[in-house]
Amino acid sequence: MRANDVVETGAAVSWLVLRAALVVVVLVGAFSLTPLIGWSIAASALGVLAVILPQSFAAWGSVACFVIGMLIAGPDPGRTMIAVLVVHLVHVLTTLILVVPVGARIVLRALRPTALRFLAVQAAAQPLTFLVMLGSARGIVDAPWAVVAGAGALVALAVVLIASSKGDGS
Amino acid sequence: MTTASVRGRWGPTLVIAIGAAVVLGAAGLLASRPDIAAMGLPLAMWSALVLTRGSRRADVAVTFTTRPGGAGEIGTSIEVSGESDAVELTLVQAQRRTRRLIVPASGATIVARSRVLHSGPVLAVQAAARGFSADGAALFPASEPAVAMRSIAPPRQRLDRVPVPRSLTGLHGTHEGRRLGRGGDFRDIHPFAPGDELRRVDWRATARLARRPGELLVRRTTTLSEASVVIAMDTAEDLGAVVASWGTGDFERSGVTSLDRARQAAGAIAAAAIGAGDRVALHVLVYGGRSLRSGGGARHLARLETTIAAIGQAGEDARFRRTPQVAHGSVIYVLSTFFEGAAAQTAMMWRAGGHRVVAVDVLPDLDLTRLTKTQRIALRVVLAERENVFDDLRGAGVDVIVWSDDAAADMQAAARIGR
Repeated sequence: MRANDVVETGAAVSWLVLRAALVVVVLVGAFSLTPLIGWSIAASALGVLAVILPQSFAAWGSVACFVIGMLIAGPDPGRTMIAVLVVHLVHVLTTLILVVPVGARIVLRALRPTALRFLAVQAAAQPLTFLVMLGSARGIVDAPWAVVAGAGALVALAVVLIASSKGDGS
Repeated sequence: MTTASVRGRWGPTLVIAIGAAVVLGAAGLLASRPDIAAMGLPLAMWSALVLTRGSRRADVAVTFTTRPGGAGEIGTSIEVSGESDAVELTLVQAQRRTRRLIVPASGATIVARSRVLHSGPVLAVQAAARGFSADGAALFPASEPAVAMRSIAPPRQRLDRVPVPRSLTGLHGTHEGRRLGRGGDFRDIHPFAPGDELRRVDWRATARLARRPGELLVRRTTTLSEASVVIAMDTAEDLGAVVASWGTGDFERSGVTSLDRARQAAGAIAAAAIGAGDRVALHVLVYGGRSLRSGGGARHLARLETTIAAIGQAGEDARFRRTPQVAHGSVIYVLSTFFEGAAAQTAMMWRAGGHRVVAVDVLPDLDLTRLTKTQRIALRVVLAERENVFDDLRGAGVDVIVWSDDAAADMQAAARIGR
């Protein structure tokens, strides 16, 4: 028997897919980036909470758990590249989940700008991360000038981002 | 069409991304851990990308196009266009189903199809759009809801004959009048008088009956006349066949409703009357209700059908009925459920004024499932009161007809009774 009301939209997915994807990403991050099971469980729990209550921003708590896990585990190029991917994915999915209401259907074409932006950022961030980690392994980045340059770049980045966000206005 | 053209605002996730990028970078520097600093890299790049686009003006426009639907359904094409990345579209289909969609802002076409469950005006689609950009970090206010209305014509029912008033007017109908004229049946043989046409002289009757030389007898006929028909619809309530749905506003599970039947009855009476050459007027018995002046012919029938299809339930304050002016000697069809006394009082007042009045009961065959014992008792009381109303109407000389699938036979029987 056909439903009384039908909407034809083209290829689309349920709102649940985004939330399931966030859980999967957090689980991958929790068990690949943190060596201690306690922090993995905490990250996973926060990921589940973020899915149930997106307004709690609990997914960022998961990212904090990943950082603690990375600090405990020590530097590793492979894990760092996974972290760059996972943190970005967690951020994008959390941002999307906040604007996709419960029960909504998402037309896949609507996610095209998000996918392109994600690929553009990853295409730049992953090689840069690899180079930084390579330089760190060879002792180039340990030089005091690199620390000073990094701090300067960080301050400049913070000022530019905050200034442009204020300048653009809300 | 609805358009939202406003400047957007940033959501909290942009601030979080900037803050997280700075904190991770600082933590990486303090701990001499480039891997920690690298974790903030995608967030910083994402923030920079998003900020270059900004939360500038983003117009979102929603337009509707009627689509040919299948049998028993209505189709509406919804086109969304705008400058944001995506649009959150809230659709309400046929006033019963709400859907939320995330669609691309440029060139997205959505087709909404709804099964037609009732005749009358229906809000086919109501849509409100809200654009967002930068994965949802830049938000734009929702637009005003846009609506696509449709009027669904009731199913046709054929009536062979409908009651006509005792006194007929005009010279253009198909009913046998009482006055002398042309077109009707034989009336009498009468001596020739000035003004009579020579071709009407009945030579046989003259030869047989003339009493003096030169006397001529003419054959006289009655005229063909038209009836003045008034259809009065009571739209104060719309009650479904399923009694449990009364007052719930659930017309998806209500079954056929009283207004469905009223629209069908009005359409059938109008078609039968105009087919017989009569003049038909339409009135909705609520203040501010629609009225259509008396008229005849195919174009007037089309106007009537369009108006009937657009008649919906009246608002909340529709307990008082208006009494429209009707032409002298009309036959008035009052279409109501007669639960409230107002329609019956109006019918009796018209009857007292000398009109022929036909009360058409449009309450559907009731389905008593899901009713509690108390509700069943209450319904019996209400129906008993309604029967009293019908007794009063019959006592006042009003014909009472229950509208059903075989209403044609009842109409024909009522038409045979001259009042």
